[in-house]
Amino acid sequence: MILERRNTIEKKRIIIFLTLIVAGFLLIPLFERGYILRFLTFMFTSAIISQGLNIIGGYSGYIPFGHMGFFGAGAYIVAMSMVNHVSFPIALLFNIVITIIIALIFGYPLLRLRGAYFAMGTIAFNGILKEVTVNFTKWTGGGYGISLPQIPWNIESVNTFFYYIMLGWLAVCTIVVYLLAKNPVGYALRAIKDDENAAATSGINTSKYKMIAWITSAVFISVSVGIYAYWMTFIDTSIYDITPLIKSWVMLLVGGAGTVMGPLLGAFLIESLSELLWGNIIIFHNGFLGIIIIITILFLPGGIIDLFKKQFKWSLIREEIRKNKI
Amino acid sequence: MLQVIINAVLLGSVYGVMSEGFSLMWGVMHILNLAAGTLIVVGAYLSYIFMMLLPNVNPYFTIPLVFFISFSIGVVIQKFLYNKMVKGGLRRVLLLTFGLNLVITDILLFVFKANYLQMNVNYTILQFKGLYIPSHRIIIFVISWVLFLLTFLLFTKTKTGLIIRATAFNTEAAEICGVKTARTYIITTGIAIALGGVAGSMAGTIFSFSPAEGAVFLAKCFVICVIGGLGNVTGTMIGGLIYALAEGVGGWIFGTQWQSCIGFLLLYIVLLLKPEGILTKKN
Repeated sequence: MILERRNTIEKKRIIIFLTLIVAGFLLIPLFERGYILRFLTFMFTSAIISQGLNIIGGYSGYIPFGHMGFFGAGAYIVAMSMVNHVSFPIALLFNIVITIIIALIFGYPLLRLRGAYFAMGTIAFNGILKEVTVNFTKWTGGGYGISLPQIPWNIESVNTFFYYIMLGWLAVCTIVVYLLAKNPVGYALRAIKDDENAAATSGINTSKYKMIAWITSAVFISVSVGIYAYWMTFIDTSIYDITPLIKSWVMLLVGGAGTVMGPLLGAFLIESLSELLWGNIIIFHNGFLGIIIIITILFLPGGIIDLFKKQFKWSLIREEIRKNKI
Repeated sequence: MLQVIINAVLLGSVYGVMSEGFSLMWGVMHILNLAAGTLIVVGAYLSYIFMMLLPNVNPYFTIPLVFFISFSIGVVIQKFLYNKMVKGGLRRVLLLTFGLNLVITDILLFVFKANYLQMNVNYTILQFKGLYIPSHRIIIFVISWVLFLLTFLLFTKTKTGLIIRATAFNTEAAEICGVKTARTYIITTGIAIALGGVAGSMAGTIFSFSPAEGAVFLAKCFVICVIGGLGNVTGTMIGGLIYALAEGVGGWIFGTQWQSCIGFLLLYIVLLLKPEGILTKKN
């Protein structure tokens, strides 16, 4: 979206800028070790989750609060496969296949709901998956969790390995979102977001496109959490916790929902803020995120990326507020 | 089995009142107040404070105090926060309430320090009639239904109730007739949060609560409201009953560890079959 409405010279500048950033990220492991790598890898994970949410929330306008179900699905499928001596790439493949199946099963009824009902329906979905995971202790380890096999390399190589894998998957996800945005699928999703009834009347097969968005976002998320599980070598039912999802939501909102780069920007900002400010202050973590959400919604609903768009004016913010209040 | 049913009926009354607030805010203003759960817990904490400060006063007498304080909280929230975004569309409002929920939860965590669950100690005199019925549950049952009656009368017989219903039915028409929407919304939210707060202080005598419990209450609220019909005063109360019965009987049959799952499944089924609520008539 940044590339539209700009002339060729600007486009070239933006492409060079982006290439430099990507090259920078690719080269970082040569210079930095340990802490920064882990920090960035974690940032990539959150960014991927935000991209997943972006597809279904930002582009299609369906806000799921229960996507943690897919966190759990991703983590546990990979964990259970690897505990049974399946290799990592194949475990990820299992993960993708099973996630698609789960997404189809739950997506079909869930996507028939609108707005608020959808949001709450996804919470129910998450609740069910969580309870099933907790109660089938024989397979999932229940409350004890599962320990994944460790990679027998030294710490630095492990860090670097996961850094590149996460970065790679993030690149894949971002490219998919970019292609989706330009594609008829993206147009359909945006039409659905604006007015689903109108879109359906114009002949767009809303169910099909919503399902595509739902499954895509599910796969993004479950694969990234699967990688995360392997990285952490331990998962338990705390993966169904809503806090990482909240953080990813904030990243999405602050960065800019419905744009390709938004989640990445948001992830970078929020994660850095998180590390810098809260290294010392453990309390009020969620509350601060809440305040950011409130401020963003009230004043900058399009996210920070709005500031970079050409047609942005500060007075627009005031107009937005005036338009929306009673 | 009879014990389970009686427990459920007694509990269902509190569940009903708890969800009334949520149902009201959705029905009148189309605001899905995700902070509702936490505000219920706030009610519980308030009555806990009163119990600490005034140890000689019967806890049930502090309920009106909790009502007024929760009412004020609701007014403040609506006036300074929600009213700014009500017309902004469901997405924004949802996320706004979500943000508020986070802030309030953290404030609670901060003020009441550690995250442990506190039981609001009370008069638990067990009465035997072949069944075990704690006396405080009966008192709570009575209070809940009285509250429901008052709310019902408020909405059907008083002018304020009429104004609120008119605004819910057709905001523009009501405005033409001279109703100030902003003020009506403020009053509505006040009542809604007040009901939630009182329900919370009652629930505090039964459940142990902590700042994070709000999420659990919110989930129950939502299931109950969907069953009963969002915005439907009577329906929500009965929905509370149905939910408590489902939880109780389901837990009795399948084992208590599946209780929450049954709640969620119920929600899922209702959403699929009749999202407007089992007890509303289709418009």
